[in-house]
Amino acid sequence: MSLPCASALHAEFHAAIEANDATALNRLLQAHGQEVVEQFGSWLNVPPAIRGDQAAVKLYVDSLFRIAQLFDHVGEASLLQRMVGEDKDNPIVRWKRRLSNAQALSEGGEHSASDTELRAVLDEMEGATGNVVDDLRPKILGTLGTNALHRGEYAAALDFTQRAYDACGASGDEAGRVAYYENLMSLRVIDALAIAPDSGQRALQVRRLVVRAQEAADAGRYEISRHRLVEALSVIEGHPGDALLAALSPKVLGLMGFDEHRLGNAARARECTTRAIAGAEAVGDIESVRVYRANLDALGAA
Amino acid sequence: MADEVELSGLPAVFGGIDASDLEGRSPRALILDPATLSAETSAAGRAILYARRGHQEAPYDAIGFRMFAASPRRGPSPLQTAAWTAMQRELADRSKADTVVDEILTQQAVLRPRAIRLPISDGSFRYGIDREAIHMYTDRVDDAGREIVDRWTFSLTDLPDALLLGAYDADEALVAAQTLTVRLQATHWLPLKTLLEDGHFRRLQEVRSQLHRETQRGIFYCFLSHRWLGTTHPDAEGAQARFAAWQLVAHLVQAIRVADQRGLHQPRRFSAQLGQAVGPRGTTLAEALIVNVLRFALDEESLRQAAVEVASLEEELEDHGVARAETDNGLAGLRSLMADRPLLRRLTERIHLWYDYACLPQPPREGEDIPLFVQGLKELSAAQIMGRTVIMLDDAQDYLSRAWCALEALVADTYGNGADLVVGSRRPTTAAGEVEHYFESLLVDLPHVLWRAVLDTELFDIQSPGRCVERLGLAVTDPDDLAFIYDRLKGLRGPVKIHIDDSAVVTGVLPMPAFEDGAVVVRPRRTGRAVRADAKPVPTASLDWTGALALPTAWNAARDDAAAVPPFRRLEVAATVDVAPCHVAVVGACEGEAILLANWVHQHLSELEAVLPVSITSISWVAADIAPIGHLVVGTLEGVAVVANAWVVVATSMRLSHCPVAGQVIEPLRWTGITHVTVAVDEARDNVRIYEPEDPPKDVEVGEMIKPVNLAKRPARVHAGGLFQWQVLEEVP
Repeated sequence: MSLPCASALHAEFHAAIEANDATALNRLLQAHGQEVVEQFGSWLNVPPAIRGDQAAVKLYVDSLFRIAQLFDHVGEASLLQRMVGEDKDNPIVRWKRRLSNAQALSEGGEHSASDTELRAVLDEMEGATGNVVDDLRPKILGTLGTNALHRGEYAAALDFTQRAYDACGASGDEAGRVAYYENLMSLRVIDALAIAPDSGQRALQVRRLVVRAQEAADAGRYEISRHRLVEALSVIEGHPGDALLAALSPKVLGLMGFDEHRLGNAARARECTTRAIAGAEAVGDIESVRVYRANLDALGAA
Repeated sequence: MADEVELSGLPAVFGGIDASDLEGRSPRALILDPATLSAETSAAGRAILYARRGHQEAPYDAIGFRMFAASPRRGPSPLQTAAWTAMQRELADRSKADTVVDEILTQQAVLRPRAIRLPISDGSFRYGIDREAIHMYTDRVDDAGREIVDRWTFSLTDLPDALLLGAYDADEALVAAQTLTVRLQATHWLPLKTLLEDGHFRRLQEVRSQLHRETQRGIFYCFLSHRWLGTTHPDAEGAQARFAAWQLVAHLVQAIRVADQRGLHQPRRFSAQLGQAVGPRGTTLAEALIVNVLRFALDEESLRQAAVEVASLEEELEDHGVARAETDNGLAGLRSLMADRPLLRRLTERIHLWYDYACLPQPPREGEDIPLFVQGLKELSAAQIMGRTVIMLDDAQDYLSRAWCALEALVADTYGNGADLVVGSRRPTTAAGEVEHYFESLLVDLPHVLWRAVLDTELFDIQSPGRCVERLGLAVTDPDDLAFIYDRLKGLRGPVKIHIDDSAVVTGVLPMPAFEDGAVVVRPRRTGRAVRADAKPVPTASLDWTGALALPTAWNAARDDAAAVPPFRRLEVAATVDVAPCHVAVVGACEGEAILLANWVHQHLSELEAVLPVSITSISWVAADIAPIGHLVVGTLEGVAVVANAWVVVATSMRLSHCPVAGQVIEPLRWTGITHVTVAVDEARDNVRIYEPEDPPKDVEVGEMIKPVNLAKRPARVHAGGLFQWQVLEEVP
């Protein structure tokens, strides 16, 4: 991928790194290494022409990082240091370190201490914007959710996880949305068990059926799996307004499509998978949308 | 620092490593504050220094735990230590107080959508295995230029074709008693039928008439390894009897179901890529029952009838019978379950147990029972080898601290295809009928820990056997047993299974194929192994070097000296035109094992040269140590350029196939077309595989697999303290 608006030397290094061309890199390092060290400070200013283009800015900054890492690797650490700055002066480094520390505290069972770290970082980040903030905020909220969950504070866990999911959505972080969606679905059922027990129990019953159907399918026993899914689907269809069940519907239909495919019923497999995609799109289950679309492609090709 | 190094028994090179900032910090503090650990190239050396903390005689578990704590980056499955297990267990117990919440959270991974096929990517992917599913991760860039990792989940039963490449038939093994009829002098077997009738274990003197001494084909001999829950009776409340009986029957039911699904004589499949059984399959115990019981007792028709008979039990035994075992005092419920299932009953009659209380004379012993007991103890390992070991695990830490139990687990691992773990008692987290993962890991790592301890004692001679057992934290009721147990431990060969994780510490010499008189070496570009079928059949030969991994055959303390086996040595050989100069690269599990193997190779060069038309000109060793707790004599890692027309790589078969460090030796040879040979030291036949040069397949860009490195521009360094595995690719030029 070419690098718009970069200096010629910057672009040349970028191209050699992209091509993984060791010979060219060696030549460039020998011929222009000192020049790069001298010019690197000016490269750190993102060219105004691309500042409005998020993808171009990312590409530009990434290329700087890779050049800095290359120089670091051959013993010239100053470029990397200029990019990240001294730890004590660089809020990004500090936030990342505190988040990492908070995650370790969380994994180590020190949930309150973890919370303290996380809230402090959130306070510091107040008002800040940018890619790094977009990246860190959901992780902080997600870890606060995990801590609350471990303490048995399920409503708080749901709230933090919802905010983490929303933050990922706002910044277009697809991987984050996938991760938090799973947690969110679980926490909604846990929350419902406390505040709307009938609905919670129904959702739990259907989840159990789908899990057992999945286990049967995972063991290659597609008939049994299908049988359990039919049962699950009848519960879902009996409660059309139930949001928790609606979220499970694509899972049921997607797996049903999978089972039908394995049982040799191609048309039925396509029908179920198509319905699963529609359901997953409706509830924002983007991983299911991606996987079932790929399955539908495979079924079309089969 | 120098004093500390001396006290730690570490090589002098550690004197140049500064770990003073870690002094006084507890392992827990480091685990909770990982940001303070630097991930520089000295990280492994710093962790090793911290772990030994000024004395080489610390308990092995403590060294392992401190090493873990001081590692700046860990893979998903680092060495499991009792101390870390205790921390994890405490957390698990605390956070799983609400079983419904726990159930809902556990459901998440199961509910992930399953893909039908792996979408086409550039062919590279990462993966992780989680119970029955494999999650594969591919990379892409979205419209906004963000790097996205996509997850694709598949059932291990139903894998895409790309992952079945190289899969082969691999049933569980027949127990030795199926091929040998043995009448040991003092080994008795208790029919499961008798236990079912009695409802609890009776002492030998009460059940003597029911016991069998002679083994028969078609009977499954099951050695039950367990803790004693009391001083005079191992199972006064009958809990172990209940859990053993219910779980054996449940695994038998599963065996019937799987055999019916797959075909009675259709073998289980094994993926070499994943190092894992795939396709329709049961637990290892169920698979062993298919091979050792069902195939002897049933034909396709009777199997079908048996499947119908047990079909209704599927849900009830989904947890392998653990829940029913909890309350079924006297096994009345199990007898009732089997009452109208004659085929199932008939099959259980083909299971015989060894349980010490019922199979060895118990106090007070009189007359002939006294020598019978002594002889029975001597035959313990033989009993395990004749059958298959099932470990009843409740408190793994306690189980593993008992010397007899540890010995049994090790014998099973060495000679008995490993051990099957079953639940030994009711615990809240065993609701699914599974032993907790970290307990299992602890048990899996036990052979690695014991092996290093024995190497320290026998090969490095740094401690007495008594001190060795003490540092292992093994306890016995009768102190006289310790010498017996240590003798058994040192007689066992090293583990053939390997444990791979980024936290492994790599020391020794990493040999790099070199050209242009050694000025340019070839290194791999990635740590993973390229998986593809061999273009043509690989010729094999046999070289029985199975003695190389056993101290009694491989090491003579009067003759051999660990210090005389450097990680790289050139050999004085007369130049000949007929045979290719050849380098032998040994890859070991730890420095002790690498030295043991390299020493063996040096002493058996003529055997190798008799099999292959080569002249060995140099030998190197490198250790990829998942449990860096043993003695170190080198403690550095260095890449060394080696010019040779042929190479031999010596290691265990699993290491040759899966170890990333072995991969870093083999992959450059593969893609540069250098003749190379692998020798699996744990196999006696067809264990020498000869890879002749051949053109790479058309779809392979060799430049993506390997890279040339000009040593004049990027010279090799000596890394004091070694490197963590994740650093090797980057740091060795």
